Amino acid sequence: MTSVPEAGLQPEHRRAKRVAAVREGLASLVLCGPAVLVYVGFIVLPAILGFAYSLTDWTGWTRWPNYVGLANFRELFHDTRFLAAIRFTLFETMLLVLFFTVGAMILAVLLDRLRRLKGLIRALFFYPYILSILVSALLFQYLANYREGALNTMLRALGLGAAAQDWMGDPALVPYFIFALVAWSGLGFFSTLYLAGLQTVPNELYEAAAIDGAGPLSVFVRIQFPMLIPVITTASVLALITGVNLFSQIVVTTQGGPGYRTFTVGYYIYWLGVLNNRQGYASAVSFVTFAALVGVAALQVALLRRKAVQL
Amino acid sequence: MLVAGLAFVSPCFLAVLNSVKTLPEIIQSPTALPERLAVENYQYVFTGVQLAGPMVNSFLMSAAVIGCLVTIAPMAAWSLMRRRMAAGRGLRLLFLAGLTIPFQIIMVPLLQEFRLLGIQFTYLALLAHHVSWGLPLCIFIYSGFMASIPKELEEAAAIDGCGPIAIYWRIVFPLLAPCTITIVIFWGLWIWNDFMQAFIIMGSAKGQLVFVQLWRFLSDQYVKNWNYIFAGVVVLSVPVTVLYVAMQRRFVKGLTAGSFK
Amino acid sequence: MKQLMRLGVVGLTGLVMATALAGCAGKEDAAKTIQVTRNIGGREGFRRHFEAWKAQFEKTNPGWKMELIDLGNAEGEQFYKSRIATGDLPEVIMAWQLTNFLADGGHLVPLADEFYEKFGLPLPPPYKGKRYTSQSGVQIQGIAVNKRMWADAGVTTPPATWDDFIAALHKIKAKGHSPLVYGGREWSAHMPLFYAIATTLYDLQPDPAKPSWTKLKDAGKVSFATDPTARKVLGRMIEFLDSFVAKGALSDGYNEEQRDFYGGKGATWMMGCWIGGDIEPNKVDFEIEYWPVPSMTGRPPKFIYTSGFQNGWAITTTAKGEKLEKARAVLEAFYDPGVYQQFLNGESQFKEAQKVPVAGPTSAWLPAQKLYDSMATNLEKYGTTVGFHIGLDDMPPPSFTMTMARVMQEILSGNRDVDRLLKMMDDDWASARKGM
Repeated sequence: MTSVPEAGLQPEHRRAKRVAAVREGLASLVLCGPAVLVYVGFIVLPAILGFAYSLTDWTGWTRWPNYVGLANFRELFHDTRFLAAIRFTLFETMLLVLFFTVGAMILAVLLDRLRRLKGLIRALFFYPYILSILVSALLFQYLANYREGALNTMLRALGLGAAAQDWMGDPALVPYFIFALVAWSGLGFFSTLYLAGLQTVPNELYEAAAIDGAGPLSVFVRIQFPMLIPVITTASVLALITGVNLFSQIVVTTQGGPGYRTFTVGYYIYWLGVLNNRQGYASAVSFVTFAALVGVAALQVALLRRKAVQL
Repeated sequence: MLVAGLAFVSPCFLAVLNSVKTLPEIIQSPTALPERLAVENYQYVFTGVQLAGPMVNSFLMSAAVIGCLVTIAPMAAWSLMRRRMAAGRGLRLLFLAGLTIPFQIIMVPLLQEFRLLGIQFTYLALLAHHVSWGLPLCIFIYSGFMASIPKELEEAAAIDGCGPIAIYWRIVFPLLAPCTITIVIFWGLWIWNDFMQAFIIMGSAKGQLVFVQLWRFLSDQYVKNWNYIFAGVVVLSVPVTVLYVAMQRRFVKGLTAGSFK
Repeated sequence: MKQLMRLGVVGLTGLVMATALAGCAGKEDAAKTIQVTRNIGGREGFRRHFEAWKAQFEKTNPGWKMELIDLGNAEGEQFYKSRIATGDLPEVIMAWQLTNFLADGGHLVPLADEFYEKFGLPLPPPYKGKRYTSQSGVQIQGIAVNKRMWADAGVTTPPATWDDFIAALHKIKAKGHSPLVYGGREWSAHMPLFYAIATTLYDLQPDPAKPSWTKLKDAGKVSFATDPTARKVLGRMIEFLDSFVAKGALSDGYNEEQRDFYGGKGATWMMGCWIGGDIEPNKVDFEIEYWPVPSMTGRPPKFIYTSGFQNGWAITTTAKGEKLEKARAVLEAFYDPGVYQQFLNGESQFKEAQKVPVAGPTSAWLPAQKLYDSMATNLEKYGTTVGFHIGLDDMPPPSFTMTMARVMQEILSGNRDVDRLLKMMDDDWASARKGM
C-alpha cells in the first residue's frame, strides 16, 4: 500500500498511516460494496450456479440434479439441432455485423454531411431504437402478415398481387424478416456511434481537403474512415453480441418456427431448458456459447486493434 | 435524405394512422385515411387492454431502478478508476465480464434465488435483477466519463483533509451530472420498454408492467384486433417519444461517453 | 444542483421502499382467496362458465373469494413451471397432460375415490396409484364441417375412409369453396397429424394385455422412422397440405382459423368439440355438423376421446389448512348443476358426472343447438377411440403437440424429406423424455 519504509518514521506517523489505511479500506467498502454485493448476489452467483448445472442432468423443475460429468458436452457435440441453431445464428450475426458496421457508417457519413434539417432527420433514423422490441415486432408482423399485412395489401392494391409473399412464414424469407426487424431497431444506435466518432475529426483536415479539391469519396476514405476505426471495433463487437444473443426477438415473432428454422442459439437454450425441461443440458449449451462469444469478441478486438495500429 | 428518413419510420406512421381506424378499415387498406377518428380505440386501451395501472407501475419501476443505479454505480466506478484498491483490477475485470453473460444461464438459478429470499414474483425481485444486470454497463459508462474529471480537484480536496467518501459526494458526483442524466435517460427507456425480463421474472399472469400486459392482451384475444393493438402501441410509445424529443442531444452524448474505450 | 441530486436520490429510494411495501400489503387479501387457473383466451363460453362457478363458490363459502388466473389462448405449462420455480402454484389448476409431471414433483393433492363417486364420475386410470384431477366432461375431437358447402359437393354424411375424405375435399375445391380452414403458425397446426396418428398407430381401444405404441416406442421397439404406418401417415399429410392449404398459411394461427370458419369462409375445420361454445357468441348462423375422423388404415371412422385420463382441475400443495378445504369446495362447486351446465355449454362437452342432473350442452342459439345435436347423434352412431390419450403414464410427452405442429410447419416450408421429418419426431420425443 505504501512505498515509504516504515522503519524510518515516528510512531505517530506510523499510527496515522494505519488510520489512513483503515479509512481508505472502509471508504472502498462503502463505495464499492453495494455495487459488488448486488452484482455478485444477482449475477455472478446465479451464473456460477448456472454453469455448475451444466454438469448435471437437472430438469430445472423437479428432481435434484445428478452429476453426469461431461455427458452433456459430449451430447451437444453431436446435436444437429444445436449445429443448425449455430448456423442460423451465425448467418444472422454476419448480416447484422455487416449492416451495423458498414451500413450504419455510411448512413452516419451521409447524415453528417447534411446542412438543413440535420437534427430532424437524425431523429427520424434514431426513433425506432427507442421502441420496445414488442412494439417493433408487432409493427413488423403487421407489415408482413400474408393476408392482411400492410405490405401485401399495398402490393395487391398496386396490382402486384403476385409479388405478395408470406414475409414472416416463408422459410426462405424469414431470416431476412428477423434481420430487417433487428436492423431497423438498431440502426439508430449504431449510426449515432459513428456520428459521434465523426465529431472528433478536426475541422482543419476537412479544410485542407477542401483546398486540395478532394471529392466526398476521397474525404471519406482518407480522413473519415481512419478516424472511425475505433468505432468500427466497438460497433462490430456490439453487433456480434446482439446477433449471438438473439432471443427475445424470436420469442415475440416466430417462436423458432416455421419448424425449427429460426432457432437461434439463445432460443434453443430457452427451448431446452424451459420448454423441454432439460435445464442441465441447456446450461451446458449456454456455457459453450458464452465461451465461444468471449473468444470471438476478444479475437475481433485484437485483430481490429492491430489494424488500427497499422493504419 | 428527408424522404429516406420518413420512409424509414413509416411503420410508425402506419401504427399511428391505423390506431384511429376501425378494424374493417384497417383490413381493407392500411394506408387509407380513416373515415372518422376512431378515438374509442384509445378508450379501449384503458378499459379493455387495461394499460393504466401498468403504466404507473412501469414508471415507478424505471424510477426505482434509476435511483439505485445512479447511487451505487458511479461510486464504484470512481473507486475503481481513481483510487488504488487491492482488488481494483480484479473487480474491474469482474464487472467487464458481466457484459457478456447471456441471460439464459442465470435465468433459472436466479428465479430459485428469489424464491429462497422470499421475494419471488415481486417488484423487488425485478428491481434487483434490473439493477444487477445494468451494473456492468453503467459502471463501464461512468468509468469512461471519469477521465474528464480533473484530478487536481480531487487532490485539492484531499489536501484539505476530505476523506474519500466526502471527495466523491461533494466533488466527483456533481461533476458526473451529464453522465448521470444520460444514464437516467437510457435506463428510463430500457426499463420502460422491457418485456422479456419482466415476463420471465414477474410472470405474465397479472400483467403488472406495460409490455407484459400488452402481451397478455395479444395472446389472450382470439382475433388480432389491430386497431386496439396500434392504439396501445401508440400510447405506450408516447412517454419514450416525449423523452427522446426533449433529450435528443443527451442521447447522442450518452452513447459516445465512454463507448470508445 | 448537488442538493437537488441528493434530494432526488433520497426520494427515489423512498419510492423503492414504498413500492416494496405496497407489494407486501397485497398479501393480506390473498389469505382468503383461492386462485384457479383457466385458459379463457377470449372465449365467451369459458368466461361465462367461470363467472358462474365463481359466483357459486362465493355464495356457498361466504368470506372467501375465487380468483381467476387466465392462461390465455395456451396451455399453462410455462406458467406452472415458473410458479414451481418460485414455489407458489395457484391452489387449483387445470392440469392437462402435465398431471404426471406435477404429481412427480409432489405438487398435487390426491383426490379420494369418494369424490368421484359423489358425482357419478367414472374413475379415471390412476397415476402411480393415485387420482388427482376432477373430471370435467366428455371431450371429443373430430371434424367440423360447413354443411352447406359439403352438400354443395354432394356429400352429406361423414366420409368412411381417408381417401373418401380427400376426394370430397377435392370436390368442394372444384365447386369454388375453400375446402379447409388451417393455420400453420401455432399449436393448431398439429391437428391433422394428431388425428392421423391417433387413428392409425394406436389400437381403437387399448388392450390391457398388449403394450401401446407409446410403450413400445419408449422401450425402443418401434419408432417413427421405422414404422411403415408412420411413414404412410406423413406421406398423406404432405399430400393433404399440398392439395388444400394455400400460400400464407404459416402466417395464420388458431385465431385466424376461428375467424375463417365462423365467417363461413372455409368448408372444413379439424378442431375439437370446444368450438361449440363459440357459435353463439360469434353469432354464427350457418349449419355446422360434427363428424368423426376417417381412418387411413381401413378402420371405421371414430371421434377421438381425449378426456378419459386424469386431466381436469387438481388441487396443489399450495392449498394448506383451511385453504385445502376451500380448494375442495371449489372443485365441488364445479358440479353444481347450473355451473356444470355452463361448463358443458362452453366446452361443448357431454356430461361425465352422471349424478348431476343436466342434459348435454344446450344453447338458445339455434345453430349452436344443432351443432350439439349433430355431435350427440354422431357420437352415438360412430363412437370413440382414445388414440394415444390412454393414461397419464401411457402417453407421448407433453411437448409432442408442438413437435407435431413443427413437423407440419416443416412440410409447409417445403420439406419433403420424410426420413428427416420422421427423425425430427423421434429426436424430439427422445429429448422430451430425457427431461421427464
